[in-house]
Amino acid sequence: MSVDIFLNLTIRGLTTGAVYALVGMGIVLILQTTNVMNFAQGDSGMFITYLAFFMITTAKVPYSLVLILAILAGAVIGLIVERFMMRSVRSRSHLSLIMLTLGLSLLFQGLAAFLFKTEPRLFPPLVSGDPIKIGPVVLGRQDIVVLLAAIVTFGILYLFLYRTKQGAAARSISQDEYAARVLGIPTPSIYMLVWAIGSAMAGLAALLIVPRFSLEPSFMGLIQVKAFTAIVLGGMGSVFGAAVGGLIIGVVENLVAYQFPAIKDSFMLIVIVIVLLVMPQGLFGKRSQRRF
Amino acid sequence: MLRVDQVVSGYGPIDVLNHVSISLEQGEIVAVLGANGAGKTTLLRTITGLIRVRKGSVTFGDKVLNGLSPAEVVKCGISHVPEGRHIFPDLTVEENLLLAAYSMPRSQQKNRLDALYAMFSILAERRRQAGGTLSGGEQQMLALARGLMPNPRLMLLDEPSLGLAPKIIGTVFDTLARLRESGVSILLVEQNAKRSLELADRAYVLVTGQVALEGTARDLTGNEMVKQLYLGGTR
Repeated sequence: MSVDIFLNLTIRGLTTGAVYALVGMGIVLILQTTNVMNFAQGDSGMFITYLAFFMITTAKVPYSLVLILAILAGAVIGLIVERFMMRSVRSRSHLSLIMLTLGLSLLFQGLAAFLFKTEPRLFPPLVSGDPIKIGPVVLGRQDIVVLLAAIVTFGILYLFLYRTKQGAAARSISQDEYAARVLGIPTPSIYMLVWAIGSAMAGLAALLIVPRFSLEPSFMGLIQVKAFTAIVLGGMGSVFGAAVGGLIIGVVENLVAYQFPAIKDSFMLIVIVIVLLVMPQGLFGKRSQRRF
Repeated sequence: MLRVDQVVSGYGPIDVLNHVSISLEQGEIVAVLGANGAGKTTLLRTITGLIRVRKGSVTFGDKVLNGLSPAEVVKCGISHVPEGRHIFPDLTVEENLLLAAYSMPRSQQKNRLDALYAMFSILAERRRQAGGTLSGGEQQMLALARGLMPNPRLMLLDEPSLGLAPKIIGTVFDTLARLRESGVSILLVEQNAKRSLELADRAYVLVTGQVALEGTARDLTGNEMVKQLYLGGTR
């Protein structure tokens, strides 16, 4: 493999990794704050992407506006899921919360198949035009947008968590939910806020990656598995870990796919197993997670 | 100021408190004594809204607290310092404090911080340090300061001396005595009956979810049952 190819594979891997990171960060945000592993993260993004698709093709809404509307739709879906599903089950059992997100995932897929049919559709990229050449690296315009969006989202998420009182409240809940309630932090509204942000990120991630695949009800499935791999690698506990994990997975996967195309997707599953066996705390996790 | 009237509450199918009535006047320190499982912590949790009142009523001033969320109860002027301190380990001392005044305007938060840093100089020194790096005694001071942060009229304290070295227990009780002078009323749940009866004006003894005894701290200190059960008297 020449240096040029290696560079190209790496950079392009970073853009895919940025999407895994976006999905993973949303999952970790919700997991850490509300203690729920959201298996519907990918598919809520898929559903939002369908909404965006019809806004663009049928309603002829301009793309930039669609991006904003899709993020808002994601937030609203998150609010609804927390307020009308998670909240009523929270006091019963933790397992049922997780089962509920699995059910939601199926619900989104079924709903999408029922409403929009299952045949694959081509989703136009956010920006079109010739790829840009930077030295030896050739990068699609959409890839650049994906990278920038991931960086901006990470920045916003960081500011939310470390510079706002709602973010501090979310972090406090992740460390000691009981104490947060005792102190009078309105935990239900923080849960709703976090679900809204997490789901909005799912929508954004799906919308950014979909032009590389085709839009169909199952297109986020594999991406979610890779986001989980990213989380495990990053150590479950931190949004930062999920971001770095996602980028690493994206790059490694791309390099592996170049040498051994056949094992591209199964390779990630092997990585999950190895990471869990050798260093279950991941790269940035603590040996004992506070939540579990 | 605080009236708990014939309150029944508990967890799941079990009632822990059975028609408990206690009251507390402005400026008073009232101790609640009792064995493990007598319902002391449940009483505090019921007042703060962490557990639902099943029967009876809790009033604070002229406000009925039944059915309010913990966040709303804090806004009424009651703070709760839970047993075991429950400091957020990865948040800084200052973040721990600020979260205790979540719904307070920023300028007021600043004033409270300044006042508390003046009162607890060790917390001022460690304001940027993670809560989990503090010693047990320092964490208890932080827990007390967190309880004071929303500028409460009434503080509920659950076992503030639990698990601390005797010398530090002395510091904790000195701090509580200082709080009395600042006009904060305190409802104190303590294992350390001797210390709390020395500090308190009045006390209640809870036995299996009911008030078995009540009276001034002086009367209860002389009471035979209290002596035997809680003050280490011999049979």
